[in-house]
Amino acid sequence: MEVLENIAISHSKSLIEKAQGGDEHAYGKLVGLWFKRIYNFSLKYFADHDLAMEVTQRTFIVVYQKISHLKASEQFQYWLYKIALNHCREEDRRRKRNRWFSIFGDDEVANIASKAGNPEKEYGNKEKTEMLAEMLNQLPADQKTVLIMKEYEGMKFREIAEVLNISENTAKSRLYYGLKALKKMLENSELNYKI
Amino acid sequence: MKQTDFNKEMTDYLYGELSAVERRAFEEKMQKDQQLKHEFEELKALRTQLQALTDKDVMEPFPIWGNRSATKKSGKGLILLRPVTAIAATLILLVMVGYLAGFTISMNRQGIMLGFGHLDTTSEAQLSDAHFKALVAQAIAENNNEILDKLNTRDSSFQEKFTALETSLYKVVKQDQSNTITDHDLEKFLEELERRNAELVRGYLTLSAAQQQAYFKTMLTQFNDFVQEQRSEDLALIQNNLIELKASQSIQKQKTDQVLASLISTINYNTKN
Repeated sequence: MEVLENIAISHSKSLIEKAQGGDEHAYGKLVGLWFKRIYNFSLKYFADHDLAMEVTQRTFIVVYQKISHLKASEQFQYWLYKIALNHCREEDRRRKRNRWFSIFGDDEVANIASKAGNPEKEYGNKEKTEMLAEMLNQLPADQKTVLIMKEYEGMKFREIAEVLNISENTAKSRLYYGLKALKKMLENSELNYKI
Repeated sequence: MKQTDFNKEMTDYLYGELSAVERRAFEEKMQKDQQLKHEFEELKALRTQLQALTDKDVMEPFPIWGNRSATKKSGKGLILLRPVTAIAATLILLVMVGYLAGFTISMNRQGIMLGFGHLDTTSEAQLSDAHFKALVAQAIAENNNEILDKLNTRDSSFQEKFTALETSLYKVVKQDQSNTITDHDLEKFLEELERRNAELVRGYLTLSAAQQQAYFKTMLTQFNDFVQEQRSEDLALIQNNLIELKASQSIQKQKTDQVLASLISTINYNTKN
């Protein structure tokens, strides 16, 4: 099924052009093709379904509003990820602000802090995937973004560099340090990372 | 080798983005450097673990964009906004019409009242009380009239009877104006009255006793007839049964005789042979 989706995505040039021309049916199909990808990208970024859904929907609203401004349909994928990433970053900033303004402190922040302090204790009863998602979420945003794009979105370093507007070497370096940090977290967790 | 170059090569190799030549060179490097190989194995295993975090299925929300004509320029607003705008416009229109028509909302003890113009809730309440009192007064007056009518009717009937009695008494008094009723006369009258009453009661009792006797006599006669009839029926039934029994006995006797005769003839035949 995913293979079919990927084929459809790679052949979505005509859909993009129709959507640019105002064909909402084509736009609907485009959303159907990309919604899951963007949702999962956002989900891995936040490890939170509601936030991921919100970011994904906002992304597609912007896409709807601005798709006619997209100059080259080949650039659609990078453009889409840029929009999604901007919304992710915006949401991140908003959450950080809320944490600062919170009188009693955010429970989530406290949880993350405690997890960072004693991962063994906190991750004891977690499912493997949940643990991975939470660990991924704890990585610095730059490293996390590259890691998600490379590991889960299957993008080339060139494409990642294009989306993030950085050099390929920077993307590789961020990925490397991201993987090392993740490995360390796993080693400290009950999952007991074994080679 | 610089650290950045090392990182670059490692990640490229890890994700298969090295050219064939570069890949072979890196593999040779790993053969020589066990620490490098070890690190690669660690990262490779980590990648395997990361694959456990698979994509989740999700349904895209109900399309808020319709099948707009392709000739229209996209990005001119979501269709979702259309019903919202329509609702907002309707509300504004309603508010304006309400304002111009003097739509008023007021609240009192009886509840919230909606209407046009000034709502005089106090006069409404007074009118209601007055109306209620008038209705009660009317009902009482009707009831009183009805009672008075009935009383008048009875009064006239009573008056007629009273007049007739008065007339008859007047006649009696007139006929026997010279007579005066004494205590002795009164006693005699009472004695006579008692005597007549006693005779009346005695006569009633006598009649009652005679009637009861006649009733019992009739009842006993009927019971006797019933018993006699039952007895005769029972006797007839017993007699019939006896006759049937007697007939049955004679048949049995005949059968027995036949069997004995048959046995005797059989024995005789066997004896002869």
